[in-house]
Amino acid sequence: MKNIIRYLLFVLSGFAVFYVMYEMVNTELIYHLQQLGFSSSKAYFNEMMSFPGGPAEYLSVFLFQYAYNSFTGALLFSAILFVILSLTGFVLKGNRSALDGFLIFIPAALTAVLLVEYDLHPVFPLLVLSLLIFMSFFTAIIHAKRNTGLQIFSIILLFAAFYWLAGGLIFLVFSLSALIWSVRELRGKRLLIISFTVTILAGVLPLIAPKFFFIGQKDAFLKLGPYFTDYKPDYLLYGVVFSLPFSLLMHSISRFKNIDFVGKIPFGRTKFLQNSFSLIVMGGLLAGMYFHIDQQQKFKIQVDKLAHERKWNEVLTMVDDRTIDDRITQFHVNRALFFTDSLTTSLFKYDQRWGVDGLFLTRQFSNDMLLPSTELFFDLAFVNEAIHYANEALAQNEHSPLLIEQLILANIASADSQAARLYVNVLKDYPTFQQRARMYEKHLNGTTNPDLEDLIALKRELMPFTDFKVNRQEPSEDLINILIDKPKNRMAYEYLMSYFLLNNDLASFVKYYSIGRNFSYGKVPKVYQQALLLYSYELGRVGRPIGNLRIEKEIVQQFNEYLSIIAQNQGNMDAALPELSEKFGQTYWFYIHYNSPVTTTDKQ
Amino acid sequence: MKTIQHLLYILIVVIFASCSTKMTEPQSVSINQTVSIFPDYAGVTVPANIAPLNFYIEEKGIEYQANFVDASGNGFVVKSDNGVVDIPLKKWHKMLASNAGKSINVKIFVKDNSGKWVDYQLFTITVSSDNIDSHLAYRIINVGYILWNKLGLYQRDLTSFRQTAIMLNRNTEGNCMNCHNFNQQDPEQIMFHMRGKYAGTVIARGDEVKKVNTKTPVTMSAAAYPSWHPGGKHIAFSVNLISQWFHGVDKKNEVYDRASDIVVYDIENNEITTSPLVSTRQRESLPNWSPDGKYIYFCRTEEVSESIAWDEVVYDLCRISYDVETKTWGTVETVLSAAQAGGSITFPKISPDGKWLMFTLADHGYFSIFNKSSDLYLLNLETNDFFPFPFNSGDVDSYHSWSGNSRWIAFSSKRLDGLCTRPYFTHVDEKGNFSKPFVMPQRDPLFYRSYKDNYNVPELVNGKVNINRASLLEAARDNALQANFDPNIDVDGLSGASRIEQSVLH
Repeated sequence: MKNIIRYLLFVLSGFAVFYVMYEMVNTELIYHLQQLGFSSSKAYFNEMMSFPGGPAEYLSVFLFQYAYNSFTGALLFSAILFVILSLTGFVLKGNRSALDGFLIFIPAALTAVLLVEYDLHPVFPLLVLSLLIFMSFFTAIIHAKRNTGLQIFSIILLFAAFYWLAGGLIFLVFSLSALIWSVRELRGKRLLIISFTVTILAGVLPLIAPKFFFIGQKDAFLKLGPYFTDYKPDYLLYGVVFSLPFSLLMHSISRFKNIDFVGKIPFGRTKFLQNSFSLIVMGGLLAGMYFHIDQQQKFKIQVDKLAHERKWNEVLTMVDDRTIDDRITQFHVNRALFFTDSLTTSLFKYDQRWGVDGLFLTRQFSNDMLLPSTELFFDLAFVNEAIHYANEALAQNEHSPLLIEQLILANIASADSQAARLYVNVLKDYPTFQQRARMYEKHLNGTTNPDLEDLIALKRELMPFTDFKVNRQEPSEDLINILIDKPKNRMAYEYLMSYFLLNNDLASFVKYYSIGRNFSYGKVPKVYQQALLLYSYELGRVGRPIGNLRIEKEIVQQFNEYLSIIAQNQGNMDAALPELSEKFGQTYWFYIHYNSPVTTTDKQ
Repeated sequence: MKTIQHLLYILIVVIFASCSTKMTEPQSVSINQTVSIFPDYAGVTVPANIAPLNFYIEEKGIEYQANFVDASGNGFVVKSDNGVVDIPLKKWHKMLASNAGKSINVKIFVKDNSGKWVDYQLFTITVSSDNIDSHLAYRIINVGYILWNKLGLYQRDLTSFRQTAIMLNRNTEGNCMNCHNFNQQDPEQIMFHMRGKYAGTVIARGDEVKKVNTKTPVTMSAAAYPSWHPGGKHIAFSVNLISQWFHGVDKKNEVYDRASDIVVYDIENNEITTSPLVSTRQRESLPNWSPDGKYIYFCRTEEVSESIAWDEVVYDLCRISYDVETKTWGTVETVLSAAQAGGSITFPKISPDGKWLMFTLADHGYFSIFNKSSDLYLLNLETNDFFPFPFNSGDVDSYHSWSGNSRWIAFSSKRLDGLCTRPYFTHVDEKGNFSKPFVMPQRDPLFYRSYKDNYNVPELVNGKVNINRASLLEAARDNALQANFDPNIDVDGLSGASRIEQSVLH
């Protein structure tokens, strides 16, 4: 009688894996981070087919499209794990002993843990899957009662196909697995012929590969995964890759030595023990997945994705009062503050310890700042710079549909319909983005689209028209240039003011502050009042007081209290810190004294 | 069995009918209009060895037919149900071969929704009796200004649609590669620079491949813009301190040199030399050796100065004689000044017959690929007359190279979409008359409408580059051989290369 509980456990753990991928990992976040769009263009196909490992990469990116939706993504990943588990069982020839039961879990369990890594290129699980598929073919060929010549011919074809599909290292792993399996399953002359064939193929195919493909000899033998990826293989990945030969080896040793400690005692063959054992293994798998999720990275991607989707309130809710420990999250929070009309009131609700580098990312160049910077410049109606950064970003990730869409928008805004059309045509090659591409195409062909037209009209109304030299190190100069042409560009104004404040540059703040009259603030924004008061106070100390400042009484009282706390501590800022932090931690005064990198760097 | 036979007969009939040599024309109404096709191949002149000019008929219809007919009435028909005219390779080549020096007429028929056929005005394709070099080498690179990722040097067999790689940066950890150059269109003699981790200049001559570090303590940079001496033993380079900045409103960026000089690298002696005359405080760049090997033509402008605005920097065309055997330099002569030319002269390229010099003229600077004012000009080296290429576009027309027979020019242009550079070809006769250029044909005629990478630095080559791949990759990944600086040059006497102020260098 079959062990129904055990099968139920399998099913349950399948659901659990799905739940982890769907709810805890959320494949949409993986997709958002990696932006690996699948292009159906011939050029992409030809390129991917032109080197060993390319076909697997092509297939993986095709499947990865489904990660764009968290449900289909979780389903896909769970299905991959299920097939890996099933095929491992097939290759290991069933789970006759408790040790077998453990061994068949190894590839699937390790892959499952690997799958929760947000930056894992999707080709790696696919490589494990294809390794098992081809191993199954290999075993099928050997088991087929055909003549040896036909078998060898089939093996040669199979190995050549796998080499082309998967590339150097995984091919060697395949060859090793096939060798171990052959030693376990075959005897005598057949063993000799098959193992000899496998060994020769393992050496010869990579050796001659550079004659057929544009690759070096080292890559021909040892290349694992894609050429252009930020993902750095670690021990876990190599563990996954070698898990099949390891399992096969252990399985073979156990059969050879007849090792089945648990199965030798009657209790070891009870369903209770088998079920308990399965439960432990599955529990371990789920725990491994759960604890391997990088929560910090997940949080960053969530914020980035929400910002991309312009869900500003959700960005702020998500960050809430968490300490922001990376500048891109701070950058998105600042954008969210602007779009929720609270940049001038709540800028220092966050500690802003990145200073101006949390407002603009372009002073420090890195790959992950390119798309957010593109979006910011488009927000600012600084369209030329949006196009510039989108192009830089596309150079790093040439198949990112989101970047291509940014380029379409920016080129439409800058009235470059030819370039916009080219990118529309490019976007049409991405199946999951075809609908959006057609929407832009219709717009370019004159079909009315009120939302898009309003957006474009707004950008054109606010974009500068007089040329200037972009200053990457001092974005404030760019903002001033934008405001000279377009003094009603409120975002440029508030970002300029924020830039000065974050840079401790109160003189410049005061100099350009009056541009704010172009906007209907009603009263002077709270943060600006704090800055003006501080500036006035500092000038007063050097005998140059300024008058006619309309500062609310409450803010003046707060400032006096702030100063009195410092005075109570005899000017010792370190001593005053706890109380000031508690009472005034969200004021500009506190920022400039304690959090500003200008201040803290000076102190160092 | 009979059913299968019948099916086979039908299949054969269908195949022949779809691409028949019988010049049938549908019953049609003539409309006196030119047909709109993409790419625009109407009225172009092509070499007899070019790949089929597949095109797309941009007229609304449900069926299409293109009749290709020569002066003798021979030809073939291409039918299409989606407007794509996919010309059979063999028939095309046969037709071109038998019509060298003559014209082919192309008549387009379109069947509209009501089932009626209309035909458009004929257009002609002139077949030149001058063949073009069989291959075009170029770099494929993304539209980016600071960053790159995947790029490669490729070659395209111009007689077919086959593109193969010469070098791919995936083999060298994604480093930058640039400035590929050939000696007199010879596929056996090629060089290109590698930047970053595997930096060096790769020079291949036949089976010999080596990588050289051309940066010496007394030159301001590694070698940049190259030109082979026709003898194949020397390469003239410019050494440049290149910078760029970005415009706030215009799309273009500005690439400029803070300083630059001309040097000559002796391949066999692994030695770099220069002269005080071309390593001055002025900026000398973009060398091009005359086909007789006696002169180096180059561009020159004033040194960087705050008194000269970025858009006022213009380059003159100069030349200096240099004897590679005796290492003797002549004096610098101005061949054509910027003032005479009415703009800044860049990328001088002399035809192999030594009669013509093609250059790019822009309103300022030398890095013309981002400058919409860039146009092509031809200078007659015998008379010093110059005139614009009559088919310049409103967009960038820039880098160019000559075919071995001096009758064809490949050039890069952004005229298709204003964004990406595409390779074009134009015929030029002995008197300097040009014919309408055509974009490099692709199997899919709509290819350029959705291809977002650039064809950079198109160089015509008279055969396939067949460097031993293993040797190339080995050399590329190997440590570079350090080039020596000519000890006979009194470096301290130079006012240029070795004496650029540190403020300029950094």
